[in-house]
Amino acid sequence: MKKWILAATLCCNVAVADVAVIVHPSNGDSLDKDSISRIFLNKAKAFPGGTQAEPVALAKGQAATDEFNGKVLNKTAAQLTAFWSKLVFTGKGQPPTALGSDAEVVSAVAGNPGAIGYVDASAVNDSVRVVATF
Amino acid sequence: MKTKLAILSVAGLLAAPTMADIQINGFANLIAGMTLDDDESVYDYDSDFSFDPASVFGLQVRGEVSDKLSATAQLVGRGRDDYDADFEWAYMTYVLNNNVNISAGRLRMPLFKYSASLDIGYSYHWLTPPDAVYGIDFNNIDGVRVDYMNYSGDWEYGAQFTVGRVEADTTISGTPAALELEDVVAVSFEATRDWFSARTLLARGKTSAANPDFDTFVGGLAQYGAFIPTASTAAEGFSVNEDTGTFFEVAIDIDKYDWFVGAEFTQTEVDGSVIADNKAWYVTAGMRFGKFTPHITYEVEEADNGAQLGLIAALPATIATGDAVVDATWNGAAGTAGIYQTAAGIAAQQNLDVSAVTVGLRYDVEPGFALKTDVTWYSDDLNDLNDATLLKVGVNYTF
Repeated sequence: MKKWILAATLCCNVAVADVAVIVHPSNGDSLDKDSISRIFLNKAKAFPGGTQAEPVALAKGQAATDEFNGKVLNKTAAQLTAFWSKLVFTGKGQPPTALGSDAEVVSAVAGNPGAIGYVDASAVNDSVRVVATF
Repeated sequence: MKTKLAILSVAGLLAAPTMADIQINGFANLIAGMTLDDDESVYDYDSDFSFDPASVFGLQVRGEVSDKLSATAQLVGRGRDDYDADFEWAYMTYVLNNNVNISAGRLRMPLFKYSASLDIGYSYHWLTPPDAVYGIDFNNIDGVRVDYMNYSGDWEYGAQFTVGRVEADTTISGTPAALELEDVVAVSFEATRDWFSARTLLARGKTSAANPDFDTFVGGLAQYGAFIPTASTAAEGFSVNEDTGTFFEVAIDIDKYDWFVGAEFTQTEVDGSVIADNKAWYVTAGMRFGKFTPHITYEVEEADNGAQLGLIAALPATIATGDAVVDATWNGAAGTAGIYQTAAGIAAQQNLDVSAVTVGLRYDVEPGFALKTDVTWYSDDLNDLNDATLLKVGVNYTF
């Protein structure tokens, strides 16, 4: 019985987990869904304020990854792979580096004024600024 | 001691801060096909199961020289070339600013909607793009390409400007020939808004193509200018010698994810040459049900040899100069074609009117890996004997 409750809790946590888009605390730009999507899809190279943007992705299989790809980029994993294969093999761009865990993304963003990343909202701490939650 | 040294040097390599940032990507399209009837052949397939016509393997290495400068090389092996690996792309790209890249070297010419990812079968729904439009002798150019991209409101748009020269293998009336395009200039534009995208390209270049048989024929025809004034005109009109070639392309695409439709049209003209004016187009549509994408495509290719037939119409079928050898060479003799008949035959061959329907299914196994099967019903409206049904199965992989 306990096991069932635990499973239910896990399932619902995953289902409602929000994904937070984070930047360095020194970055004062406000970003909406479209501008975040453009940065992560290699269409915009800089923040509205002019700083060069360095997007950091989260590895496949992490909870926030599919949330972010679906809600912000509007792409399934297969679509995203096809999208990047076109850019990679035409020399137009490389997908953002993917880090293995929420904690790694938080520390990478905390350490780089140009970085932008996404993590499970529960993984956010004071070292980064949340620009949007989805 | 030796082991220790080895470990130390490996550690040194890994830690070396000056090591260039190198990215390696690859793709594989393993495609098998066969026609469904013994005496049919189309697109280099016949009734024997073959991997050669469309299978491609490639490896791309990109090194970042600096934040602004990168070098890219793509090594490609094609089944039709016995998988002999060839550097199809080798170029350097300089990032001028956030909107402009300049690439120089051997690079892909953005002739078509799918030009950029032509070898990446994973990026489209077919096993191979429609031959009517995409069956061209060259896709790469030695030169410079400037890529501009930007966005405004909900629109994303871009432009490419390409200059350079192309050398490729082609055929003139069925025999292999060397194709050379000089002073090529191409301009293309593209725009995308959410589910809608459109693009167009206009290119021109000085076109030359030659092989010994054809040169002998054109030379022979020109010599008859001494007897028949229109023979000089015909020789000039048949030769492919620095003739101005123009190429126009336009494509639109609507992709609502659950379903998509697309169409592309091309027009090729090489004025004053044996190459007939060519028009080709396709429309395609498909639906996505989870991992399955069934799709259908109709394609048409037509070449109009009116100009070539006009040159023949101006020539006399027989001449009587009084010189038996001169007359026989032109008029032909029993069992051998004279120059007139050869010219008429070549002009007639330039006519083309083919269409095909392709029905296919794509299955996405996992991101980067898809299984596909296509069936194509090919129809030659000028000669029913060329009709064929082609079955292809294959896998597309990219990493």
